[in-house]
Amino acid sequence: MALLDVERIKLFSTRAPWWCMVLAAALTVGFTVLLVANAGTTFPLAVSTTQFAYNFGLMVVMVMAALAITTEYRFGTIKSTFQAVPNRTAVLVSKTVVVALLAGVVGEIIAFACWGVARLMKPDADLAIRTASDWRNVAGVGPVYFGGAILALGVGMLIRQTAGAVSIILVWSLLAESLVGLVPTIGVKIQAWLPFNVAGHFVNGDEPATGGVQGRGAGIDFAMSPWVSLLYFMGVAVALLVIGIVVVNKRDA
Amino acid sequence: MIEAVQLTKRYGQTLAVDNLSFTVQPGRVTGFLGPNGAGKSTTMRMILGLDNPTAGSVRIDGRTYRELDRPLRTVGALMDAKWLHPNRSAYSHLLWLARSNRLPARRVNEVLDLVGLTAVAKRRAGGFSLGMSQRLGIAAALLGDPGVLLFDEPVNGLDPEGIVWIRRFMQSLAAEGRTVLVSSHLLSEMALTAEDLVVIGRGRLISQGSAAEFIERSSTSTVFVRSPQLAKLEAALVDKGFPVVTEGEGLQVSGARTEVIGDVAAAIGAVVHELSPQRGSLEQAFMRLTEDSVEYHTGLGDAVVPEGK
Repeated sequence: MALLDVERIKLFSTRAPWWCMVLAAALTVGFTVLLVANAGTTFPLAVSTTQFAYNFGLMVVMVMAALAITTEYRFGTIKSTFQAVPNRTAVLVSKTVVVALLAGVVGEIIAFACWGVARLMKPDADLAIRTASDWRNVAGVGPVYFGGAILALGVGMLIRQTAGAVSIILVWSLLAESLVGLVPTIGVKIQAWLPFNVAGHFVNGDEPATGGVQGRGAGIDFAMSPWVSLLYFMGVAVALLVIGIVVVNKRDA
Repeated sequence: MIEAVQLTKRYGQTLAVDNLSFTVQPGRVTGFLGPNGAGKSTTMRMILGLDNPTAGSVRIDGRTYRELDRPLRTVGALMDAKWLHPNRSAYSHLLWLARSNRLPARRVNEVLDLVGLTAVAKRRAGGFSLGMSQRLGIAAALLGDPGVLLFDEPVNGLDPEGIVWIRRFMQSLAAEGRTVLVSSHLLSEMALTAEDLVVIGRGRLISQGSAAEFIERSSTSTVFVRSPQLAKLEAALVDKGFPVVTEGEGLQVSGARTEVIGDVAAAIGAVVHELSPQRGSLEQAFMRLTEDSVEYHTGLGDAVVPEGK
């Protein structure tokens, strides 16, 4: 428990996480406001459409998670940390728990804020959360942020440099997974197994994209059910984390 | 007590620390001396379990660093004063360190007081001067009231006031019975601070023993003397058995103190214009000692590397 406390003090005694959280919320809610304001007959509003912008917040939250580990290398505090607690695995697991839980909570707050804003803006639209799928649409954003943070921490542990780690995370999730679809025939099949696409499948489910707006993963034939998709995404994230922890234990601090 | 046994660290082709064995005794300041790049910091990082030795081991009171429970209570270290998050306050920096070893938050205020940083405790550490960072680093080292303290080049870049403060501080820590290991590349600094010396060059042990002995053994004291009757004085000094070297307008006399040379001059009625003991030979002595190991590696570097493979 002491180690969780240590990581909590570390995280909240710098400004980066606060800025990241504010930015994540502002970007996601702001984009949702634009989306909802322009909704109409050609673009009907549904519970799932209130969550189209979740990727903005996810990117910022993953940057926050990567920063939590790379700044420790940047400023040498990782050495002070391992000097104070030689059990590196315990340190890194504690950091992951604190950062990923925060990411998950931020994700839930952002998701319900987006939904709430949409309800306030369009009280007549049918935005009640009724079905299990509706719940997954909104409340599913938290678990995805949670998993994204774990993945980003794993990448951060391996790369150690902020610029490198953040570039990899952003290019991977924003570009690489979409561009793979350009490869003829097998591209779309590969896409169905790439973690961020799969995470999108968990949130969006099997519903066809509404109106002219295409959610993440539109056009991909996913093999896994939404809940298995979440497990798969978490599995990839945890696998990266484990590799990161093993490597940090082997390397000189 | 710190005990290194055949400690070796290899980075690719470079042998940073080579079969290094030494002990550091409690109750005295031990200087860890060597030129830049001799492997001092690498050795200290291995003591702290940050770097893994390629071979050999180093133990603190019989245990390796990673075996220590709540290690800040056993070993405190100031490796780099800038190992801080610039936007974190001094207080928060110490607080997370204290919590990691389940030390009370009260202890944070105590060490801040001890190093005189209480007034700036809530300020971001990134804005600290080097001297203040150094004090903060020392506060961190003292958090767990450890019996073993390591300082890596603690006086580097400090102003004279800071140097004197740190020097006194280390001596008082040793006087309390703690084991204190201080690295430096400045022999003159170590001559003032340390009682014992571990001297290394190119990762190898050159000498271990008392500092006074090392300085005595390695420094030849010379005296510079000027006189209008230089030839006469030179003859008299050579006669007495002192090695003499002509240098500019005067003579460098080895192995004699100023009083002896003054007496010799008076005995032959020579006028003396200058009679000055030459200091600063410590650095030269140190270089003479480490030169061998340096030359060995630079001269035979190409031959040595394949052999080691």
